Amino acid sequence: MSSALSSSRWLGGTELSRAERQGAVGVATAAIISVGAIDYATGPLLSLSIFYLVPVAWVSAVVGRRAGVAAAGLSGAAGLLSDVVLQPHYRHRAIATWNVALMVVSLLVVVELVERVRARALAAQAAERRGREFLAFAAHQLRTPLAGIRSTADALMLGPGNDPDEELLLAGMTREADRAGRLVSSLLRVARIDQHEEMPLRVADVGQMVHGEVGRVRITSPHLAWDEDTGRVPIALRCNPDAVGEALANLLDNARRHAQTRVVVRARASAQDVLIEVEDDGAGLPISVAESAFDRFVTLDGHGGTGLGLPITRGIAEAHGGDVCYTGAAFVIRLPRR
Amino acid sequence: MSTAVRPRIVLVEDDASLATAMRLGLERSGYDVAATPDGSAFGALVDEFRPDLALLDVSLPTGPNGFELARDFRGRTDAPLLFVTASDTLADRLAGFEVGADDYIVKPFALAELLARVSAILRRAGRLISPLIEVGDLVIDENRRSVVRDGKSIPLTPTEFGMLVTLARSPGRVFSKGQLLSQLWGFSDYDPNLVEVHMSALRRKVETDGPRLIHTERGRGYVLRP
Repeated sequence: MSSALSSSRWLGGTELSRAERQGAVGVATAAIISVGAIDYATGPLLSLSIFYLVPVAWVSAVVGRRAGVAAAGLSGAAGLLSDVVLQPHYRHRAIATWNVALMVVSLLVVVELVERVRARALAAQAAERRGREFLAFAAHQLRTPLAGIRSTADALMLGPGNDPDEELLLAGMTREADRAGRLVSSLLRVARIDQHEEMPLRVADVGQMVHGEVGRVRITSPHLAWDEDTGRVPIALRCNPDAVGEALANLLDNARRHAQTRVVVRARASAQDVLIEVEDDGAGLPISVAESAFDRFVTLDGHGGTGLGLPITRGIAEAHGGDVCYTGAAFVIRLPRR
Repeated sequence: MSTAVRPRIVLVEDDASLATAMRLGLERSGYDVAATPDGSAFGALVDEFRPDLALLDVSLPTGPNGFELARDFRGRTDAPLLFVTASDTLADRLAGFEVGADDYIVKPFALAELLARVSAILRRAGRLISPLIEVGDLVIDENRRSVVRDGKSIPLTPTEFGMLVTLARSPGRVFSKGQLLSQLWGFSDYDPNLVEVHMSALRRKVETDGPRLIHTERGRGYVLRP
């Protein structure tokens, strides 16, 4: 929803900066004067009035109602000047004047209709922004009580008595608090990706990043064979290493939950791109549902994922100008080397 | 911990349950803790308690915030300080380091992570000097992270070392798999097999050249004794 709105910046529905608004008014004025000039050169053709409609509707969509009304007025002036004042031989002045008046009224109606659509789009956008801010705020506020639950269970676990049943319950409590904590972190991450938060870039070696992340997951899943193939030469990439590491960690976590015995992580580089592939020997995804795995809150299995890992990975890759896809065997992150 | 002198930690955290849990967790792991819900009497507390480490919540609803307390703390002692924060943005982290924080930890955290950071910072600052731990012919030096048995040095992974130290700090105490998991991994992935895998690797290394030291108590857990 957000991308559909933001890509329509120049079609209305987005607040433009002052300079952008002035630019739009300038473009519309020039267009109206040009139509007026053509109007004068071709003589009174009723069908030409339709071309005033384009700049008037556009400027009222991107700048607002006042600009639209002004543009309609300017169109009327241009029409009068070219069809009535500067055409002394035209015999039916009254009809020409009447035509221009009719055109201005039609344009004003269009301006009003456009304004209604524009107001609705702006309201939707503001609501969406408030929703995102609320999400970030709520996620943030949840962190302290979650820390309280988590630490309480941990402190109890350190106690002297260790009744196996109690321990199992405490472990369950820790695990659930942990899951909620991960979900909260993911929600905040998503909110930040949506707000296009700036990520500082620096040059890092992809091989080392892979090595670091695989090392981390190897500790929690020692029963799986973790193969790394990153070639012999370092792969330098200008990126935000924390974010790319997180994107990879999400894919590794995914692989860890689905693999039978082994996971292979490859990194390759061409002149344009760096590709990081994660392949596990699990059942794999049917290619027909693979794309929906990248949607938010979609969990295609009962393996305890938050449903935000893959969308976050995709968001991070896209913020770097790359993408993530599923080939049928492996998840592949593609990052351009710029 | 077998040390007579327990390192002292001052804790400022406004959330009462979290503060209690952190205080008990730290106390059960061998620290003395003075906790306060706000920073109103922080200076006096620091002067009186003379902490080896400060744990500060960044956002406090009343009184000075964590950053202001950090500046105050810096003016009174050179003991290290660690921020506890609910925000993980880069800007907040940098702001923390600017006022002299040695590290930060993001809520919600596992007690295992808090303990690991606390002991790492104290060790770095020279405020945690653990004596050598000896169990039979096994000698563990926490400061140098080395393990020697019968004069021979044994190379261990960080996980194996952590597991051995946990057992060795309370010789004779039985640790369940759950307790080891929460101490070493913080339960981020609860899988009792994890303990077994690392424990068998540790045993292979430690017990190749000598009699059994790590004993399995069926249904209860593991214990280290000569």
